[in-house]
Amino acid sequence: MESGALFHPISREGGLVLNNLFLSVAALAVLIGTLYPLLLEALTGAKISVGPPFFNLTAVPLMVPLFLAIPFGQRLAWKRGDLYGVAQRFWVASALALFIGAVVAYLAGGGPVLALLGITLGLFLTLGSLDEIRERAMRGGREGALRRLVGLPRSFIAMALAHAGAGIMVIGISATAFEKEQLATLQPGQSVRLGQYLVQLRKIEPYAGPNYNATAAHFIIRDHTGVVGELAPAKRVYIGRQMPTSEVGRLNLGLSEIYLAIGETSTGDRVDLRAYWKPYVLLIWLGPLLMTLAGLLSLTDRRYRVGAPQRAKRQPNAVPEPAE
Amino acid sequence: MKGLRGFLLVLAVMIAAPVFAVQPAERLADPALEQRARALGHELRCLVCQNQSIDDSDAALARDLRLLVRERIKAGDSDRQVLDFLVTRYGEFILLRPRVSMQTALLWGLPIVALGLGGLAARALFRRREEEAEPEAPLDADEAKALAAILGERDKPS
Repeated sequence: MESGALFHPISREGGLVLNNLFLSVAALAVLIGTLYPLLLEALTGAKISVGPPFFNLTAVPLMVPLFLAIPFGQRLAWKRGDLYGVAQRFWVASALALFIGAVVAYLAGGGPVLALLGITLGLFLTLGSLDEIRERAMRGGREGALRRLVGLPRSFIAMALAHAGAGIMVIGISATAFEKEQLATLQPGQSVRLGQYLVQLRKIEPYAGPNYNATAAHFIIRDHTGVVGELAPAKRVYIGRQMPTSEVGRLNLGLSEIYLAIGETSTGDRVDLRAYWKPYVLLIWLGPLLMTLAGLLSLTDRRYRVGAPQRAKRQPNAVPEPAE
Repeated sequence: MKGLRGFLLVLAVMIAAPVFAVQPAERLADPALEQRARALGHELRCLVCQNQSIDDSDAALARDLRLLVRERIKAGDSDRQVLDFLVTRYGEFILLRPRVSMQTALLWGLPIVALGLGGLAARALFRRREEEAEPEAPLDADEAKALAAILGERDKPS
Protein backbone atom coordinates (compact mmCIF):
# COMPACT_ATOMS: atom_id res chain seq x y z
CA MET A 1 0.00 0.00 0.00
CA GLU A 2 3.00 2.27 -0.38
CA SER A 3 2.20 2.94 -4.02
CA GLY A 4 0.93 6.46 -3.38
CA ALA A 5 -1.61 6.00 -6.12
CA LEU A 6 -5.19 7.14 -5.87
CA PHE A 7 -7.30 5.04 -3.57
CA HIS A 8 -10.54 5.49 -1.75
CA PRO A 9 -11.65 4.54 1.75
CA ILE A 10 -14.11 2.19 0.04
CA SER A 11 -11.56 -0.13 -1.55
CA ARG A 12 -9.63 -3.29 -0.86
CA GLU A 13 -6.95 -1.13 0.76
CA GLY A 14 -9.59 0.55 2.90
CA GLY A 15 -10.85 -2.88 3.96
CA LEU A 16 -7.35 -3.98 4.93
CA VAL A 17 -6.79 -0.81 6.96
CA LEU A 18 -10.12 -1.36 8.76
CA ASN A 19 -9.18 -4.99 9.37
CA ASN A 20 -5.79 -4.08 10.85
CA LEU A 21 -7.24 -1.27 12.94
CA PHE A 22 -9.95 -3.40 14.58
CA LEU A 23 -7.71 -6.41 15.16
CA SER A 24 -4.94 -4.22 16.60
CA VAL A 25 -7.34 -2.47 18.99
CA ALA A 26 -8.74 -5.85 20.09
CA ALA A 27 -5.20 -7.10 20.76
CA LEU A 28 -4.44 -3.86 22.63
CA ALA A 29 -7.55 -4.31 24.81
CA VAL A 30 -6.39 -7.81 25.75
CA LEU A 31 -2.88 -6.53 26.53
CA ILE A 32 -4.17 -3.64 28.67
CA GLY A 33 -6.69 -5.88 30.43
CA THR A 34 -3.91 -8.33 31.27
CA LEU A 35 -1.28 -5.87 32.46
CA TYR A 36 -3.44 -3.16 34.02
CA PRO A 37 -4.07 -4.89 37.38
CA LEU A 38 -0.32 -5.54 37.74
CA LEU A 39 0.64 -1.96 36.87
CA LEU A 40 -2.06 -0.45 39.07
CA GLU A 41 -1.01 -2.53 42.05
CA ALA A 42 2.66 -1.72 41.50
CA LEU A 43 2.00 2.02 41.18
CA THR A 44 -0.81 2.66 43.66
CA GLY A 45 -1.17 -0.53 45.66
CA ALA A 46 -4.84 -0.80 44.69
CA LYS A 47 -5.95 -4.28 43.71
CA ILE A 48 -8.51 -4.80 40.97
CA SER A 49 -9.52 -7.80 38.87
CA VAL A 50 -10.04 -7.85 35.14
CA GLY A 51 -11.96 -10.91 34.05
CA PRO A 52 -14.07 -12.39 31.27
CA PRO A 53 -16.83 -9.72 31.49
CA PHE A 54 -14.28 -7.02 30.59
CA PHE A 55 -12.91 -8.93 27.62
CA ASN A 56 -16.37 -9.78 26.33
CA LEU A 57 -17.37 -6.15 26.57
CA THR A 58 -14.32 -4.91 24.64
CA ALA A 59 -13.80 -7.66 22.07
CA VAL A 60 -17.37 -8.26 20.92
CA PRO A 61 -18.18 -4.66 19.85
CA LEU A 62 -14.91 -4.63 17.88
CA MET A 63 -15.43 -7.98 16.18
CA VAL A 64 -19.05 -7.50 15.11
CA PRO A 65 -18.46 -4.61 12.65
CA LEU A 66 -15.34 -6.33 11.37
CA PHE A 67 -17.20 -9.59 10.70
CA LEU A 68 -20.00 -7.66 9.01
CA ALA A 69 -17.49 -5.97 6.71
CA ILE A 70 -15.56 -9.10 5.70
CA PRO A 71 -17.81 -10.35 2.85
CA PHE A 72 -17.78 -6.83 1.38
CA GLY A 73 -14.06 -6.33 1.87
CA GLN A 74 -13.08 -9.54 0.14
CA ARG A 75 -14.97 -8.47 -3.01
CA LEU A 76 -13.96 -4.80 -3.13
CA ALA A 77 -11.71 -3.81 -6.01
CA TRP A 78 -8.26 -2.41 -5.32
CA LYS A 79 -7.99 1.37 -5.15
CA ARG A 80 -11.63 2.23 -5.74
CA GLY A 81 -14.46 -0.10 -4.85
CA ASP A 82 -18.18 0.07 -5.38
CA LEU A 83 -19.97 -0.91 -2.17
CA TYR A 84 -23.41 -1.05 -3.74
CA GLY A 85 -22.20 -3.09 -6.69
CA VAL A 86 -20.44 -5.47 -4.33
CA ALA A 87 -23.56 -5.87 -2.20
CA GLN A 88 -25.54 -6.77 -5.31
CA ARG A 89 -23.12 -9.56 -6.14
CA PHE A 90 -23.95 -11.61 -3.04
CA TRP A 91 -27.45 -10.53 -2.14
CA VAL A 92 -28.70 -14.08 -2.67
CA ALA A 93 -26.22 -15.45 -0.11
CA SER A 94 -27.16 -12.64 2.30
CA ALA A 95 -30.87 -13.31 1.88
CA LEU A 96 -30.23 -17.02 2.42
CA ALA A 97 -28.37 -16.25 5.67
CA LEU A 98 -31.28 -14.09 6.89
CA PHE A 99 -33.74 -16.82 5.92
CA ILE A 100 -31.84 -19.59 7.73
CA GLY A 101 -31.42 -17.29 10.74
CA ALA A 102 -35.18 -16.77 10.80
CA VAL A 103 -35.78 -20.52 10.52
CA VAL A 104 -33.40 -21.16 13.43
CA ALA A 105 -35.22 -18.51 15.49
CA TYR A 106 -38.53 -20.16 14.67
CA LEU A 107 -37.32 -23.68 15.49
CA ALA A 108 -35.70 -22.51 18.72
CA GLY A 109 -38.98 -20.85 19.66
CA GLY A 110 -37.38 -17.47 20.19
CA GLY A 111 -34.50 -17.51 22.66
CA PRO A 112 -31.84 -14.92 23.32
CA VAL A 113 -32.11 -12.26 20.61
CA LEU A 114 -28.38 -11.46 20.59
CA ALA A 115 -27.51 -15.12 20.08
CA LEU A 116 -29.94 -15.39 17.16
CA LEU A 117 -28.43 -12.26 15.62
CA GLY A 118 -25.00 -13.78 16.18
CA ILE A 119 -25.98 -16.97 14.39
CA THR A 120 -27.33 -14.93 11.48
CA LEU A 121 -24.10 -12.92 11.41
CA GLY A 122 -22.10 -16.15 11.31
CA LEU A 123 -24.26 -17.50 8.48
CA PHE A 124 -23.89 -14.22 6.57
CA LEU A 125 -20.12 -14.37 7.00
CA THR A 126 -19.87 -18.05 6.02
CA LEU A 127 -22.22 -18.00 3.03
CA GLY A 128 -21.15 -14.53 1.91
CA SER A 129 -17.50 -15.57 1.83
CA LEU A 130 -18.00 -18.95 0.16
CA ASP A 131 -20.37 -17.54 -2.45
CA GLU A 132 -17.54 -15.68 -4.15
CA ILE A 133 -15.96 -19.03 -5.06
CA ARG A 134 -19.19 -20.03 -6.81
CA GLU A 135 -19.47 -16.59 -8.39
CA ARG A 136 -15.96 -16.66 -9.82
CA ALA A 137 -16.34 -20.21 -11.12
CA MET A 138 -19.67 -19.39 -12.77
CA ARG A 139 -18.41 -16.17 -14.30
CA GLY A 140 -18.89 -16.61 -18.00
CA GLY A 141 -21.60 -19.25 -17.78
CA ARG A 142 -22.08 -22.77 -16.58
CA GLU A 143 -19.87 -24.15 -19.32
CA GLY A 144 -16.31 -24.53 -18.11
CA ALA A 145 -17.29 -23.65 -14.54
CA LEU A 146 -15.49 -26.70 -13.17
CA ARG A 147 -12.34 -25.88 -15.11
CA ARG A 148 -12.44 -22.32 -13.83
CA LEU A 149 -13.05 -23.56 -10.29
CA VAL A 150 -9.93 -25.71 -10.41
CA GLY A 151 -8.00 -22.86 -11.95
CA LEU A 152 -8.90 -20.29 -9.28
CA PRO A 153 -5.86 -18.96 -7.44
CA ARG A 154 -5.31 -20.92 -4.25
CA SER A 155 -4.75 -17.73 -2.31
CA PHE A 156 -8.27 -16.63 -3.25
CA ILE A 157 -9.84 -19.96 -2.29
CA ALA A 158 -7.89 -19.86 0.98
CA MET A 159 -9.19 -16.36 1.72
CA ALA A 160 -12.80 -17.39 1.16
CA LEU A 161 -12.36 -20.54 3.28
CA ALA A 162 -10.64 -18.66 6.12
CA HIS A 163 -13.43 -16.08 6.22
CA ALA A 164 -15.99 -18.89 6.22
CA GLY A 165 -14.06 -20.42 9.14
CA ALA A 166 -14.50 -17.18 11.07
CA GLY A 167 -18.23 -17.36 10.34
CA ILE A 168 -18.44 -20.97 11.53
CA MET A 169 -16.71 -19.98 14.75
CA VAL A 170 -19.20 -17.12 15.26
CA ILE A 171 -22.10 -19.57 14.86
CA GLY A 172 -20.51 -21.87 17.46
CA ILE A 173 -19.95 -19.04 19.93
CA SER A 174 -23.50 -17.76 19.49
CA ALA A 175 -24.92 -21.25 19.98
CA THR A 176 -23.46 -21.40 23.49
CA ALA A 177 -26.38 -19.19 24.55
CA PHE A 178 -28.64 -22.19 23.94
CA GLU A 179 -26.70 -24.57 26.15
CA LYS A 180 -28.59 -26.35 28.90
CA GLU A 181 -27.31 -26.95 32.40
CA GLN A 182 -28.84 -29.12 35.05
CA LEU A 183 -27.95 -29.63 38.70
CA ALA A 184 -29.49 -32.52 40.56
CA THR A 185 -29.02 -34.95 43.39
CA LEU A 186 -29.86 -38.42 42.13
CA GLN A 187 -30.26 -41.91 43.55
CA PRO A 188 -29.84 -44.96 41.31
CA GLY A 189 -32.86 -45.27 39.03
CA GLN A 190 -33.70 -41.57 39.15
CA SER A 191 -33.29 -39.35 36.13
CA VAL A 192 -33.12 -35.70 35.22
CA ARG A 193 -34.13 -33.87 32.05
CA LEU A 194 -31.39 -32.03 30.14
CA GLY A 195 -32.91 -30.17 27.20
CA GLN A 196 -34.22 -32.86 24.87
CA TYR A 197 -32.31 -35.59 26.71
CA LEU A 198 -33.05 -37.68 29.76
CA VAL A 199 -30.08 -38.54 31.97
CA GLN A 200 -30.66 -41.53 34.20
CA LEU A 201 -28.39 -42.76 36.99
CA ARG A 202 -28.00 -46.53 36.73
CA LYS A 203 -25.60 -47.37 39.52
CA ILE A 204 -22.85 -45.98 41.69
CA GLU A 205 -19.72 -48.09 41.74
CA PRO A 206 -16.49 -47.68 43.68
CA TYR A 207 -13.32 -48.93 42.08
CA ALA A 208 -9.60 -48.79 42.77
CA GLY A 209 -7.05 -47.40 40.31
CA PRO A 210 -3.27 -47.91 40.54
CA ASN A 211 -2.80 -44.99 42.94
CA TYR A 212 -6.28 -43.70 43.61
CA ASN A 213 -9.69 -44.73 44.84
CA ALA A 214 -12.59 -43.72 42.69
CA THR A 215 -16.35 -43.61 42.70
CA ALA A 216 -17.92 -43.85 39.28
CA ALA A 217 -21.54 -43.01 38.54
CA HIS A 218 -22.94 -44.85 35.54
CA PHE A 219 -25.48 -42.90 33.51
CA ILE A 220 -27.65 -43.72 30.53
CA ILE A 221 -28.60 -40.88 28.21
CA ARG A 222 -31.75 -41.15 26.15
CA ASP A 223 -33.66 -38.97 23.76
CA HIS A 224 -37.07 -39.63 22.19
CA THR A 225 -35.54 -42.21 19.84
CA GLY A 226 -33.94 -44.27 22.61
CA VAL A 227 -30.52 -44.67 24.20
CA VAL A 228 -27.90 -42.33 22.69
CA GLY A 229 -25.02 -43.21 24.97
CA GLU A 230 -23.65 -44.16 28.35
CA LEU A 231 -21.28 -42.17 30.51
CA ALA A 232 -19.43 -42.88 33.72
CA PRO A 233 -18.07 -39.69 35.28
CA ALA A 234 -16.09 -40.35 38.42
CA LYS A 235 -14.48 -38.65 41.35
CA ARG A 236 -11.05 -39.80 42.35
CA VAL A 237 -9.06 -39.42 45.51
CA TYR A 238 -5.34 -39.93 45.01
CA ILE A 239 -4.05 -41.90 47.95
CA GLY A 240 -0.64 -40.28 48.11
CA ARG A 241 -1.78 -36.74 48.90
CA GLN A 242 -5.53 -37.12 49.44
CA MET A 243 -6.11 -35.01 46.36
CA PRO A 244 -9.69 -35.19 45.07
CA THR A 245 -10.16 -34.81 41.34
CA SER A 246 -13.11 -35.06 39.03
CA GLU A 247 -13.25 -37.16 35.86
CA VAL A 248 -15.76 -35.75 33.40
CA GLY A 249 -17.95 -37.93 31.24
CA ARG A 250 -18.11 -36.59 27.70
CA LEU A 251 -20.53 -37.77 25.03
CA ASN A 252 -20.15 -36.60 21.47
CA LEU A 253 -23.37 -36.13 19.49
CA GLY A 254 -22.33 -34.92 16.07
CA LEU A 255 -21.33 -31.29 16.55
CA SER A 256 -22.87 -31.12 20.03
CA GLU A 257 -21.61 -32.56 23.29
CA ILE A 258 -22.94 -33.66 26.65
CA TYR A 259 -20.74 -33.32 29.73
CA LEU A 260 -21.51 -34.96 33.05
CA ALA A 261 -19.62 -34.37 36.28
CA ILE A 262 -20.33 -35.58 39.77
CA GLY A 263 -19.61 -33.64 42.92
CA GLU A 264 -17.32 -34.38 45.80
CA THR A 265 -20.28 -34.53 48.13
CA SER A 266 -21.51 -37.67 46.36
CA THR A 267 -21.89 -40.66 48.65
CA GLY A 268 -22.47 -44.37 48.19
CA ASP A 269 -26.20 -44.12 47.56
CA ARG A 270 -26.63 -40.74 45.83
CA VAL A 271 -24.63 -38.41 43.60
CA ASP A 272 -24.66 -34.68 42.98
CA LEU A 273 -24.77 -34.37 39.22
CA ARG A 274 -23.92 -31.40 37.07
CA ALA A 275 -24.95 -31.98 33.47
CA TYR A 276 -24.37 -29.79 30.43
CA TRP A 277 -25.68 -29.97 26.91
CA LYS A 278 -23.50 -27.84 24.62
CA PRO A 279 -25.15 -27.55 21.21
CA TYR A 280 -22.82 -27.12 18.22
CA VAL A 281 -19.90 -26.42 20.51
CA LEU A 282 -17.48 -28.19 18.15
CA LEU A 283 -17.99 -25.39 15.61
CA ILE A 284 -15.84 -23.21 17.88
CA TRP A 285 -12.98 -25.62 17.15
CA LEU A 286 -13.81 -26.43 13.53
CA GLY A 287 -13.97 -22.77 12.45
CA PRO A 288 -10.43 -21.91 13.56
CA LEU A 289 -9.25 -25.30 12.21
CA LEU A 290 -10.61 -24.31 8.80
CA MET A 291 -8.86 -20.94 9.14
CA THR A 292 -5.58 -22.72 9.89
CA LEU A 293 -5.91 -25.09 6.93
CA ALA A 294 -6.82 -22.16 4.69
CA GLY A 295 -3.70 -20.37 5.87
CA LEU A 296 -1.61 -23.39 4.88
CA LEU A 297 -3.42 -23.61 1.54
CA SER A 298 -2.65 -19.97 0.83
CA LEU A 299 1.06 -20.74 1.26
CA THR A 300 0.85 -23.19 -1.66
CA ASP A 301 -0.36 -20.45 -3.99
CA ARG A 302 1.20 -20.35 -7.42
CA ARG A 303 3.19 -17.21 -6.75
CA TYR A 304 5.08 -18.93 -3.94
CA ARG A 305 5.63 -22.15 -5.89
CA VAL A 306 6.80 -20.91 -9.25
CA GLY A 307 7.87 -17.31 -8.72
CA ALA A 308 11.58 -17.66 -8.28
CA PRO A 309 12.43 -20.49 -10.73
CA GLN A 310 10.63 -18.72 -13.54
CA ARG A 311 12.66 -15.61 -13.07
CA ALA A 312 15.83 -17.62 -13.33
CA LYS A 313 14.76 -19.23 -16.60
CA ARG A 314 14.24 -15.89 -18.24
CA GLN A 315 17.98 -15.18 -18.36
CA PRO A 316 19.48 -17.97 -20.43
CA ASN A 317 22.27 -15.67 -21.62
CA ALA A 318 23.48 -14.79 -18.18
CA VAL A 319 27.25 -15.03 -18.16
CA PRO A 320 28.56 -17.07 -15.27
CA GLU A 321 31.04 -15.20 -13.23
CA PRO A 322 34.46 -16.85 -12.94
CA ALA A 323 35.24 -17.89 -9.42
CA GLU A 324 38.61 -16.21 -9.17
CA MET B 1 12.58 -29.25 47.06
CA LYS B 2 9.78 -27.47 48.83
CA GLY B 3 9.41 -25.12 45.87
CA LEU B 4 9.07 -28.05 43.51
CA ARG B 5 6.41 -29.62 45.69
CA GLY B 6 4.50 -26.39 45.78
CA PHE B 7 4.76 -26.13 42.03
CA LEU B 8 3.52 -29.70 41.57
CA LEU B 9 0.63 -28.99 43.91
CA VAL B 10 -0.37 -25.92 41.90
CA LEU B 11 -0.02 -27.93 38.70
CA ALA B 12 -2.18 -30.72 40.10
CA VAL B 13 -4.86 -28.24 41.16
CA MET B 14 -4.81 -26.71 37.69
CA ILE B 15 -5.05 -30.06 35.91
CA ALA B 16 -7.78 -31.32 38.22
CA ALA B 17 -10.38 -29.28 36.43
CA PRO B 18 -12.85 -27.99 38.99
CA VAL B 19 -15.87 -28.80 36.87
CA PHE B 20 -18.16 -28.99 39.84
CA ALA B 21 -18.82 -25.67 41.43
CA VAL B 22 -22.39 -24.71 42.21
CA GLN B 23 -23.84 -27.56 44.30
CA PRO B 24 -27.46 -28.64 43.95
CA ALA B 25 -28.20 -27.89 47.59
CA GLU B 26 -27.10 -24.26 47.20
CA ARG B 27 -29.74 -23.38 44.67
CA LEU B 28 -32.61 -21.01 45.35
CA ALA B 29 -36.07 -22.42 44.93
CA ASP B 30 -37.19 -19.56 42.66
CA PRO B 31 -35.63 -20.10 39.18
CA ALA B 32 -35.71 -16.36 38.39
CA LEU B 33 -33.76 -15.51 41.54
CA GLU B 34 -31.37 -18.40 40.94
CA GLN B 35 -30.81 -17.09 37.41
CA ARG B 36 -29.82 -13.71 38.86
CA ALA B 37 -27.51 -15.40 41.36
CA ARG B 38 -25.79 -17.31 38.54
CA ALA B 39 -25.35 -14.15 36.47
CA LEU B 40 -23.84 -12.37 39.47
CA GLY B 41 -21.65 -15.40 40.16
CA HIS B 42 -19.90 -14.90 36.83
CA GLU B 43 -19.13 -11.27 37.71
CA LEU B 44 -17.48 -12.08 41.03
CA ARG B 45 -13.99 -13.31 41.62
CA CYS B 46 -13.13 -16.14 43.92
CA LEU B 47 -10.63 -14.28 46.08
CA VAL B 48 -8.33 -17.20 46.74
CA CYS B 49 -8.21 -18.53 43.16
CA GLN B 50 -6.28 -17.68 40.03
CA ASN B 51 -8.79 -15.41 38.30
CA GLN B 52 -11.74 -17.80 38.59
CA SER B 53 -15.29 -16.68 39.09
CA ILE B 54 -17.09 -17.92 42.19
CA ASP B 55 -19.40 -19.94 39.96
CA ASP B 56 -16.48 -21.85 38.44
CA SER B 57 -14.53 -22.43 41.62
CA ASP B 58 -14.95 -25.22 44.10
CA ALA B 59 -12.97 -23.48 46.80
CA ALA B 60 -14.70 -23.26 50.16
CA LEU B 61 -14.59 -19.46 50.05
CA ALA B 62 -16.30 -19.41 46.66
CA ARG B 63 -19.06 -21.53 48.12
CA ASP B 64 -19.47 -19.12 51.03
CA LEU B 65 -19.67 -16.22 48.58
CA ARG B 66 -22.26 -18.03 46.47
CA LEU B 67 -24.37 -18.58 49.55
CA LEU B 68 -23.89 -14.96 50.57
CA VAL B 69 -25.03 -13.72 47.16
CA ARG B 70 -28.14 -15.90 47.41
CA GLU B 71 -28.81 -14.69 50.91
CA ARG B 72 -28.72 -11.05 49.79
CA ILE B 73 -30.91 -11.78 46.77
CA LYS B 74 -33.45 -13.53 48.97
CA ALA B 75 -33.39 -10.54 51.31
CA GLY B 76 -34.61 -8.46 48.36
CA ASP B 77 -31.39 -6.74 47.27
CA SER B 78 -31.05 -5.61 43.67
CA ASP B 79 -28.06 -6.87 41.66
CA ARG B 80 -26.40 -3.53 42.18
CA GLN B 81 -26.93 -3.66 45.96
CA VAL B 82 -25.46 -7.15 46.13
CA LEU B 83 -22.35 -6.00 44.27
CA ASP B 84 -22.06 -2.86 46.44
CA PHE B 85 -22.36 -4.98 49.55
CA LEU B 86 -19.60 -7.32 48.42
CA VAL B 87 -17.33 -4.45 47.37
CA THR B 88 -17.61 -2.77 50.78
CA ARG B 89 -16.73 -6.09 52.37
CA TYR B 90 -14.00 -7.36 50.06
CA GLY B 91 -12.93 -4.35 47.97
CA GLU B 92 -12.94 -3.71 44.23
CA PHE B 93 -10.76 -6.79 43.82
CA ILE B 94 -13.85 -9.00 43.90
CA LEU B 95 -15.32 -7.54 40.70
CA LEU B 96 -14.24 -9.26 37.49
CA ARG B 97 -15.61 -6.29 35.54
CA PRO B 98 -13.89 -3.32 37.17
CA ARG B 99 -16.05 -0.24 37.68
CA VAL B 100 -15.24 2.94 35.81
CA SER B 101 -13.38 5.23 38.20
CA MET B 102 -10.30 7.41 38.25
CA GLN B 103 -8.27 4.26 38.80
CA THR B 104 -9.69 2.36 35.89
CA ALA B 105 -10.20 5.30 33.51
CA LEU B 106 -7.19 4.24 31.43
CA LEU B 107 -8.27 0.60 31.36
CA TRP B 108 -11.65 1.43 29.87
CA GLY B 109 -10.53 4.51 27.98
CA LEU B 110 -7.44 3.32 26.13
CA PRO B 111 -9.15 0.87 23.75
CA ILE B 112 -11.71 3.54 22.82
CA VAL B 113 -9.01 6.19 22.41
CA ALA B 114 -6.89 3.81 20.33
CA LEU B 115 -9.82 3.05 18.06
CA GLY B 116 -10.59 6.77 17.67
CA LEU B 117 -6.97 7.73 16.96
CA GLY B 118 -6.55 4.83 14.56
CA GLY B 119 -9.72 5.86 12.73
CA LEU B 120 -8.50 9.45 12.46
CA ALA B 121 -5.09 8.30 11.24
CA ALA B 122 -6.71 6.09 8.60
CA ARG B 123 -8.91 8.96 7.48
CA ALA B 124 -5.93 11.30 7.23
CA LEU B 125 -4.08 8.66 5.23
CA PHE B 126 -6.88 8.36 2.69
CA ARG B 127 -7.31 12.15 2.51
CA ARG B 128 -3.66 12.82 1.84
CA ARG B 129 -3.40 10.10 -0.76
CA GLU B 130 -6.40 11.55 -2.53
CA GLU B 131 -4.96 15.07 -2.56
CA GLU B 132 -1.51 13.99 -3.63
CA ALA B 133 -2.68 11.86 -6.49
CA GLU B 134 -2.75 13.50 -9.87
CA PRO B 135 -6.03 13.33 -11.72
CA GLU B 136 -5.82 10.58 -14.25
CA ALA B 137 -5.46 11.96 -17.76
CA PRO B 138 -8.00 10.55 -20.21
CA LEU B 139 -6.61 8.21 -22.86
CA ASP B 140 -5.78 9.83 -26.18
CA ALA B 141 -6.94 8.29 -29.44
CA ASP B 142 -3.86 6.10 -29.99
CA GLU B 143 -3.89 4.76 -26.46
CA ALA B 144 -7.59 3.96 -26.68
CA LYS B 145 -7.01 2.06 -29.91
CA ALA B 146 -4.08 0.13 -28.43
CA LEU B 147 -6.14 -0.75 -25.37
CA ALA B 148 -9.05 -1.96 -27.47
CA ALA B 149 -6.67 -4.12 -29.52
CA ILE B 150 -5.17 -5.68 -26.39
CA LEU B 151 -8.54 -6.31 -24.81
CA GLY B 152 -9.90 -7.77 -28.04
CA GLU B 153 -6.99 -10.18 -28.28
CA ARG B 154 -7.35 -11.31 -24.69
CA ASP B 155 -11.07 -12.01 -25.03
CA LYS B 156 -10.66 -14.12 -28.18
CA PRO B 157 -11.34 -17.76 -27.38
CA SER B 158 -8.03 -19.57 -27.36
